[in-house]
Amino acid sequence: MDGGEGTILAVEDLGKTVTTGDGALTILSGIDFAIKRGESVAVVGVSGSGKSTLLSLLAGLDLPSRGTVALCGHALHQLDEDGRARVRGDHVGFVFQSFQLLPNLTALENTLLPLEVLGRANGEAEARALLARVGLEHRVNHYPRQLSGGEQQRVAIARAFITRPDILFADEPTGNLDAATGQKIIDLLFEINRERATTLVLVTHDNQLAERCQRRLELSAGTLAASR
Amino acid sequence: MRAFTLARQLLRRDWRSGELATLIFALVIAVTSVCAIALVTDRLTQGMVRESAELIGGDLVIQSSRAPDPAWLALGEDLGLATARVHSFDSVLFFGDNMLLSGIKAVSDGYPLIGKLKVRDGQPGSAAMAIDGGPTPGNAWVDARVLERLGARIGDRVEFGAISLRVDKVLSYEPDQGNSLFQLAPRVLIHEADLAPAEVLGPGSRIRYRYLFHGDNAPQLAALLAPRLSAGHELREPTSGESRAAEALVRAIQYIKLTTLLAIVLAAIAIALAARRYSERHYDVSAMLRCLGAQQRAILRLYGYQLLLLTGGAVLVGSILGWLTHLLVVAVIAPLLPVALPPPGLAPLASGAGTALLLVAGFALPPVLRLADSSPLRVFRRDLAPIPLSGWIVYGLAGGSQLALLWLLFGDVGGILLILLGVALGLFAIGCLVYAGLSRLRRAALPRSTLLGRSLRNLAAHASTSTSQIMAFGVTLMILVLITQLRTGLLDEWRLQFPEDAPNHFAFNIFPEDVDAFREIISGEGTLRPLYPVVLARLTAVNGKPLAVNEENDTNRELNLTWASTLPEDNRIVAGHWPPTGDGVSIEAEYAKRLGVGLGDRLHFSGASGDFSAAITSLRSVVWESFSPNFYLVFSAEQLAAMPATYLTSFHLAGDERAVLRSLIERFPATTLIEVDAILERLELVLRQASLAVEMMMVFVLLGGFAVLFATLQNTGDERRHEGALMRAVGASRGWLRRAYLAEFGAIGLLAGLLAVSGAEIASALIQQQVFNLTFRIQPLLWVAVPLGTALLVGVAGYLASRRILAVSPLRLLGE
Repeated sequence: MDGGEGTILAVEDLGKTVTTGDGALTILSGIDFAIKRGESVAVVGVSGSGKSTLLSLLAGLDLPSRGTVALCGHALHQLDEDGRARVRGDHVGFVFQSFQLLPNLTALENTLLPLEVLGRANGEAEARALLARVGLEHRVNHYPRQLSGGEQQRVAIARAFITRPDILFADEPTGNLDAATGQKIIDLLFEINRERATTLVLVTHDNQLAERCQRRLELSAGTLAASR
Repeated sequence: MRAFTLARQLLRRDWRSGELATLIFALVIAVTSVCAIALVTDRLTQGMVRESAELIGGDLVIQSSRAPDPAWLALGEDLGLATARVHSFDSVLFFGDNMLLSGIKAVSDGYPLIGKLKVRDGQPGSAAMAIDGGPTPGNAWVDARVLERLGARIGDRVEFGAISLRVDKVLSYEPDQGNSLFQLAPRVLIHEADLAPAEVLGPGSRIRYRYLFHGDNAPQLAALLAPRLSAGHELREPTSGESRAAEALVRAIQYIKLTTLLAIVLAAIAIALAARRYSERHYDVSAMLRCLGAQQRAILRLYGYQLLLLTGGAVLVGSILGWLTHLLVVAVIAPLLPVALPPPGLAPLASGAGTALLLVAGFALPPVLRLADSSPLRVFRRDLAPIPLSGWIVYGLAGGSQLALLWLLFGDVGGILLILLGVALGLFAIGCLVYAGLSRLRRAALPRSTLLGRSLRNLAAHASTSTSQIMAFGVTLMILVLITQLRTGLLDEWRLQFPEDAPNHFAFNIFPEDVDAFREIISGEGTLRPLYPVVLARLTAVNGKPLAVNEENDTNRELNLTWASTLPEDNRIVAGHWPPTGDGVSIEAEYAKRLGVGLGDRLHFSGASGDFSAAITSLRSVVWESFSPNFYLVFSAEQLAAMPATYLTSFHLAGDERAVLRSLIERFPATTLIEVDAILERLELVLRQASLAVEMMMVFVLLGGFAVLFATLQNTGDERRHEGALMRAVGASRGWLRRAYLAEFGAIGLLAGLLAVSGAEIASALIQQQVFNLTFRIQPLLWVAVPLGTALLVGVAGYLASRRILAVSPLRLLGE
C-alpha cells in the first residue's frame, strides 16, 4: 500500500462522485500520485477544479467514492471516521483559509487544543516556544478578536505544528490576508516546515505561491492535468 | 392577507427545521403555569370568601350595639339581597326552681342566610342534622348545656321574661358562630317575634344587633351604606382572610405565585435568547426580501404575524395544559379545604393569554423588530447586521412587561416589587459570584489532559453562558431542595423537640364547681398543667383614652383574662415585678408592644360585671409553642376573683388512655376538649399538601430551567458546531467529543447542584435557627445526592441536545 521507500502519501485511481438532484456529479476521477517525506507540493487549479475535495480526501476528512489513499502507512479509505480521526491526530497538521481559531480561547489555548484532544498533558512550554517562533511571544494570552488576520494565521500555524505532524495540509492559507501579510505568513510556513522536515501539501490558486513548492499538481475539471 | 399567508408558510418551514421549538416551549411553560395558578387562585379565593361569608353570616353584615336603621334592610331588599336580623344578648331562663343565664340569639325569618343550622332531637346519641331556617315563634332551640343545667327535656316549656317557650330542639351548630370558643352563657336560639311580648329588653340592655345581607349586589349596598354609618356601627364583609383555612393556604398561594413568577422569569430569559437567535437567523431572509423590494412595513407585518401565530398556538396549548395542571393542584389541596370549591371560570385563562402577549411584547418583539432594519446590502456583505434597538426600548419593554405580569399575578405591584427587588439583587450577587468563580477557574492550572479539566476550562471560557445555565438550574434546585427539606424534615424535628409528656389536649369552659373533679380524673390518668380561671372582657381604653379599632381587632375581641400568683412555667418577667397585686396586671411583652403600652400604663376593660381598670406592673415573655395555657394578661386574684369565670387547662394523655376522654365528655358536657394531636396532624397535613402543591408548580420552574439551557445551547450551537468540526479535524473521535459534552454539561449540573445544596442548607439553617429555634443539622446525603443527580440530569440533557453537533463533518472547515 505504501507507495515505496520514503513515500508518505500515495493516491491511486482516486475518484469522488456525489449524488445531486440531477443525478451523479463527478468531482474527481482517476487521480494517481505519491508524495515523499519532506517534500512540499502545491495543488493548484481554478475554482471548482476539485482542489478542496482532493485535500479533504488526502487528509481523511472525507471518503473517496473509489480508489485508495495511503497516508503514513494507513489505508484511509478502509478506516471509519474515528479511525481516520486517529490518523489525523497522530500524523496531520492543518492550516485553514479562515484560520479557524476558537474565539473563547487565548492564542496559547488555541495552540494547545490538538494536544488536549490527544490527551497529552505537557505541551505548554512547546506551545509557548512555537508562539515565540511565529513572533507572538507577547500575545500568548490574547483572544483571536484581539489579533489581526495575520496574527491569527500565525497562531493557526503554531497550532498546526504543536503535534509535530508528519504532514501539513494548508488550504489557501493566504486567501483571507492582504498580499504583504500573506507573503510573510508563507515565508514563516516554509521556514518552520523546513526546520521540522515536515511534508507540506498546499492548496492554492496563487501561481506565485505554488512556485515556491518543490512540486505542483494541477487539477482541471476533476482530473490531474499536470504533475511537475 | 398575502403577508399573512407568507408568514404562515415561513413559520411552517421554521417549525420543520426545529428552530422554533425553544421559543414555543418557553411560551407554553409560561402560559401553562400562569393559567394553572390563576385558575387555582380564583377558585380558592371564591371558596374562602364563601366560607368566610358563612362565618360572619352574610355577604354583608352591619353590627352594632345600637339598633341600625330599618331602612337599610329595605335598601338591601331593593337591591335584590336576601336579608335577616339577629339580636344577641344575655338573659335568664327559668325552669321550675332552676335558673340559667343564657346567651339569647333572636333571629328573623330567613336566618341563616348562608349555610344551615344543625340540630338534634334530644335523644342520647342521636345524630346532628342540618335543617332549613331557624325556630318558629314560641319555640326555642337550645344548647345541650341548657337542658343539663335546667334539668329540662325536649318538649318542656321554659320561662323567658313574660312568656314561656317550648324547648323544641338541641342546637349543635350555628354556621355564623365565628370563634366563640369561650361562649360563657349557653346558647338559646329563638324567633325575634318573641322578643317584644317577653319584655326582657329595656333601655340600657346590652344588645348586639346584626343585619345580614346575602346576594351578588352586596358590594353595592356596602358602598351605599358606608357613608351613612355612625361610629357605633361596624360594617363587615367576607374576605378570604377570615376563612379558617385561610392563613396556610393564602401563604401557599403566595409561594405558588412566586414560583410561577420564577418560572415566568426563566421562560422570559429563554424567550429572549430564542428570539435573538430567531432574529439573527432571519437577517439573511429579510435582507433578501428587502433586496427584492419589500418595504420595512411589509417585513414588520410579516414577522409580526409570525409572532402572533406563535403566541396564539402557545396560548392554546398552554391553556389546555394549565387547565389540566390546575385540576391536579386542586386535587392535592382539596383535603385542606372545608368547603367544596366553586367550578372554574374562564376568566383566569385570560391571564395566561395576557402573559403570553406580554412576554412576546417584552422579550421577543425587540430582536424581531430589528429585522425590519436589515440592510439589503447584507446580501453582499454578510457582516452587516441591523442597527440594534436603543437600550431604553429593549429594557423598557422587558421591564414594563415584567411589571405588568406582576400586576397580573399579584394584583398589587408595590408589596411584591420590594421582595422581588431583594430576590433579584440576591440572584445578581450569586450570579456575580458564580461568574467570578468561573473566571478564576480560567486562570487556574487545570489538568489539560483530562476531560473534567477540559470541560471546566471550557465552562470558564464561556463564563457568561455557563453562569446563566448554572444559575437557571442552581436557583431552581435550591428552592426545590429547600421546600422538600422543610416539608419532610422540619415538622418531624419540631415534634421531636417536644418532651414526651408535652400537653396534647386543651380543655375550656370548666365550671368552677367542676375544677376539683376534673383535676382528680386527669391526675389519675395523665399529666395535668395548672388550671387557670378565665374571665372574658374587652379592652376599651388605655390611660383613659378610648382605643381606635386597630387591624388586629384587639379592641373588639373578647380577651381571656386570668389571675395567678405563681409565674407560669414558660413565662419570664422581662420588666417590672411579679406577681401582680391590687389592681396590677402583668402583660405579655409582644402584646404590649402591639398596643404601644409599657409599665405604669393603665388599661380599661369592660366585662360581664361592669367596667374595671388595671395598671401594668410587669412585662412577660411567653413561649406560645409550649402547648401550656398562656395569657396576654394576668391579674391579681383580688381584682378578678369576684367575676364570673370558667377554667381552662392543658394535659397530656398517652395514646392508650384516650378512653378517659369519653368519660370526661360524659361527665362535663359543657367543657370543650381540643385534641392538640389532631390540630398538629391537621397542621402537618396543611404543610405537606401545600408544599406538595408548590413542588408541583416547581416542575414548571425546572422546565423553565431546561428552556434556558436549550436556548443557550441553540444560541451557541453555531460556535459549538464549528468547535466540534475543528476538534475532529485535529483528531478527536466522536466518542471523545461525546464524552467531552457529557463532562461539560455534567460539570454545569455539578456546579448547579453544589450551588443549590449550599444555598438550601444555608437558608434552611437560618430558618431553623431564627424562625423555629431548632438546632441545624447538616444533611450529608443531600450534599452527595443533589450535585451528582443534577450532574447526571443536566449532563444527559445537554448531551442529547448536542447530538446535532456530532453530525457536523470537519469538511465544513475547508474553503470557508
